Amino acid sequence: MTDVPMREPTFLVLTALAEEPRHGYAVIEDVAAMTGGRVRLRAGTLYAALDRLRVEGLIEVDREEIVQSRLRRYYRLTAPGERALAAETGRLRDQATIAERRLSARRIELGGATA
Amino acid sequence: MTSSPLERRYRRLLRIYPARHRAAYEEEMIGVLMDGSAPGRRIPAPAEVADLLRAGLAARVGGSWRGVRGSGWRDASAVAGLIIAVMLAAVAGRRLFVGIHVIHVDPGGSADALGLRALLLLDVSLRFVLWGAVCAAALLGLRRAAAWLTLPAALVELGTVIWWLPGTPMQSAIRLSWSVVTVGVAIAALMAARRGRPLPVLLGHRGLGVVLVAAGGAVAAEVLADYLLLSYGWAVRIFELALFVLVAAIVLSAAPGVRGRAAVLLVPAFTGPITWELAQGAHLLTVVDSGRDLIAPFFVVLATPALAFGVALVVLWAWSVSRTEGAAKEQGHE
Repeated sequence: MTDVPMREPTFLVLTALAEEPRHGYAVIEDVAAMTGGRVRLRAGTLYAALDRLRVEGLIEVDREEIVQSRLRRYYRLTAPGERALAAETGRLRDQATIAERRLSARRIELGGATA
Repeated sequence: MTSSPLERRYRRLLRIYPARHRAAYEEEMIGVLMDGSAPGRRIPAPAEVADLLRAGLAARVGGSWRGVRGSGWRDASAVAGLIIAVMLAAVAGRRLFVGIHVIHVDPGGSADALGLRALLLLDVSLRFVLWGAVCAAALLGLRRAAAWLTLPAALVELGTVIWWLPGTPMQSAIRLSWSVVTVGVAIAALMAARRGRPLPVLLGHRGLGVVLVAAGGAVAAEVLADYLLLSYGWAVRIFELALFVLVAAIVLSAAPGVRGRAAVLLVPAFTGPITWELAQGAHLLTVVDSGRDLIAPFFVVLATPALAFGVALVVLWAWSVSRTEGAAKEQGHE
């Protein structure tokens, strides 16, 4: 795993699979629910991410089912995938903390200036 | 099960993906696409089509690049870029050397009062300086500087072609046109090498020493040939031999895995000029502009390099496929 920040679809797919194994359409639905409908992954984007994550060993196939004559393949997070998601979550948290601290300081400064 | 028109259209769209990807994901993707489509829909949504086309093309390019990435191609690009820059600097340097020599031996008196002959050496001087700077930057490990310096060097080369093209015979025009291809390969190679390992790492201190000694030897051979007042033909042969030794030194200093790839990258750069030289040496170009049959010389000069390039690509593809299959078999036995 490199230190390059994850792209948002990758992060969201891993987050969707962190809860439980999911098939492709369930990942799309979960990502849409997590982001309040802001992100709705399309099939091309989703399978590009799934293929890359499989190659990198961050996810793997959990099981396959046939539902209404259609293949459903469930994916699950692997241990390296869990570590990668934890690392990315920590990185985002650190950045958010810095941003929050600076915004608070700015509010205090502005409040002081207007007082 | 009878598929719906929408499903058939999605399947047609998925043909944009490489076979490997379709074999792994097509049925699954069809399921997702059909689950996500509105009831009664007959044609895919434009946004869905755009996403599939983008992702499919990316899978094709990424899939073919995946085997290439990290396998020494960037290293090979650095070596090939250096070789082309060395060749272009050497050719310009020799012309500059000969031009200065001619002016020195025969100043031209009043016939050259305005220094016109010296002015004609301007583009040669610029090419020598710029390609020399590209070589120096590459050998010092300054990958970005080497890449960006190719642009002004290429501009001067292009300017030379545009300047000389209208007034030159057909034979020289063909040669000038091929130089644009050579320069294009140099730019592509050095730009690709920006993210690879620097040449001092690739060649090692010993390799760098060998290359510098070979370059010094080439310059010494050129000066010696001039000092001994050898005939023009002999001087050219010595120059070619010295250049060959220099290029061989660069190639042999690179790691074994890099050499073959560098040679493949050099094919498009040098097939045209070399074929031109061979065709001219065999007097095949004399019929050009003579009113006789033009098909044969054009075939020799233009089609042969293209065919050779095509053959080289097929050989490269077959080689990479055999390696991939070999690696897959090895993995299968593990």
